[in-house]
Amino acid sequence: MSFDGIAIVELLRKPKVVNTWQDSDWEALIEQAYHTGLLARIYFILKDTGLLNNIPCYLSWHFTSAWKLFLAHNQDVQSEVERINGVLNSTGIKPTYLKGTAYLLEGLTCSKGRIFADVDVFVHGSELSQAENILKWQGWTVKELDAHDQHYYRNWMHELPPMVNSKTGLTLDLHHNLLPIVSRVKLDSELLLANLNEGENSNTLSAEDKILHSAIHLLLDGEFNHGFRDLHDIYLLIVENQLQHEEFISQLIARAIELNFEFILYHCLRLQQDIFLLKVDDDILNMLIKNKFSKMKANFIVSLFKAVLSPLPLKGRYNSISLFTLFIRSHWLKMPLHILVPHLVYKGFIAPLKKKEE
Amino acid sequence: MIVQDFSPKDITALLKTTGFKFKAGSFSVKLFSNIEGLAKGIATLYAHAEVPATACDFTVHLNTPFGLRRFFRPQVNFSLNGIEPFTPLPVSQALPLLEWGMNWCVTNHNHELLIIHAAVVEKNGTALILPGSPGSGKSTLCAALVELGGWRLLSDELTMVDLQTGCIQPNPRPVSLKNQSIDLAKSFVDKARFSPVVHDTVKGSVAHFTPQKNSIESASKTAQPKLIVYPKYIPNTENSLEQVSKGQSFIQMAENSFNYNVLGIEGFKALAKLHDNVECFSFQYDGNLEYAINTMDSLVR
Repeated sequence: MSFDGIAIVELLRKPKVVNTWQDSDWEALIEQAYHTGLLARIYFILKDTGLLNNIPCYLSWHFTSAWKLFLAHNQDVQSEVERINGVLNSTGIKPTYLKGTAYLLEGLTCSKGRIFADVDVFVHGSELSQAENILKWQGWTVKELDAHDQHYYRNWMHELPPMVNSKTGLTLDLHHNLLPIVSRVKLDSELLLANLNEGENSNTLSAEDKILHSAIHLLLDGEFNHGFRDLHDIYLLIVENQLQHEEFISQLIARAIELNFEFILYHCLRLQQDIFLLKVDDDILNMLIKNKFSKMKANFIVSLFKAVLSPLPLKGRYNSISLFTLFIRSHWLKMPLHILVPHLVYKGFIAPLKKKEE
Repeated sequence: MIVQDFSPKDITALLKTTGFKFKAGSFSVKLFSNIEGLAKGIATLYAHAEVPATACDFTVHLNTPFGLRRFFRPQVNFSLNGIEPFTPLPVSQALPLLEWGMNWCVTNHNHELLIIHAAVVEKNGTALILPGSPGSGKSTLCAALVELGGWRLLSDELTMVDLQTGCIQPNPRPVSLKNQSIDLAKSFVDKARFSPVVHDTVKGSVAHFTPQKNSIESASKTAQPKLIVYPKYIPNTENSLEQVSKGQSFIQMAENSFNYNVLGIEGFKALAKLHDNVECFSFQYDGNLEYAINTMDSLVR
């Protein structure tokens, strides 16, 4: 599918396009911006480029309201981080924040207007039980889970069941790894921990690792509710880093090769080229493929992702087929069969029966 | 153009193709739907509403989901730009779901106004705010004031306070009634203005009636709030009107607000300014609407 002519894509590619817009273009933009959760980011972009006045007066409340919601969210997350740091630092643990929280703490462009539900915290495996206990002591609670779900989170996945701060209502995901433990796609957390952006009370991943981590989740999770936004996060992360070091893309590629994530970065950069017109030299891109996997298969997978990452609220039939294929693929990549099959049997047949008994 | 200029058949055709645009209170909706009979309900409830030619605020789909279920127990799903905030309901509840969904669209996304869960009506330039918990008789009192007492309906659910001016921005949408209050309202409102009664919803039996033409036509005319009255309907009680302290009212209004927490200091200032200019009362009444109207009238004389 082509992304040309879609209002939100045109705006994100080149904000000045709004100079030529009619009311109907704004209507389409608002529809797509609600759908993708990008209203507040678009407010920021239009403000940053001096184009705010182009919004028809009677529609501007959509954008200013979304921005207010972001400011309130921003404040909530900042205070939550202070609370979490306070608790964890007291036992000598220095947490590493991931995704949205990390962008916000570093004040990156992609944090402006980005609203998210969970604070993602990563601690070293050896610190996990200590971190979990002290957080529970300090008022974070976990929904009660049955034995299967406990086992699922602790032995197969990369994070504990979500914890909720009973005072603020914010959710905390405590990670002990960045990919499911049982995943076919392996990631050595120690390599990421050796390369952190160190802060006073907490850390974040390095610029390259933040991008790779976001791309891993976007392309492996099999769920695309915020997919278009996440893809645009990565675009903004790359562009912001490129402004600082011209050679950034080469560094990113080197890091992907080092961590064995060539195919994920390849798919991700292809999507950036096609959707946001990011300039990447073919030579550089080809370094990622070499002879490791076929270009035809890559083209097919990129076309599936393009279908599910469309910012249009109404998607065609090809979307549901693609969604299903990618869902199966992500489970295939994340869980070996001897774990996946019993898991699906449990979730499909046993769990519903148990629920009925209750 | 207004909705009345379209026949239910025209509306049905638009709902199934390019969408039907109309003004719901201060906001415009573009509605798509495949549900039979919905057009008739819209023609009744939004008869005098403008059909705007400009861009709309909310693109809403009200459809029966795909799947086998549509043949034996059909349901209806509400979606705003592909976001589905509610679980599907039986298809007979399509019209109430549209009303609830529209409230959700406004309260969840508009933070240029302080939005409070309260009815609000206007007379002689004075706006009277009627907050009330379910069962307090807020909607019945509001219906009586606008249909029998000559007040103008600003809104029966959402009181919207302009953060800059402190004025109330009208949002005249269909008046919602529940259970016994439906028959009561039908005794003084033309039955042709009502949508069909829908039974067994989460709120019991529900029906809506369309506001008067003048209320819709003066939707852009804001009003200065001067009174907050907390109604409480108790059968066989002694009627009483008592002053409530502004501090107490402030806290109640903050609790009844949808976006006070989002607005932070701005919301605090707006509520403070509002309370600088209003008098607050609690009003206990036995259901005698004539008495209730006289009491409210005496406050603005």
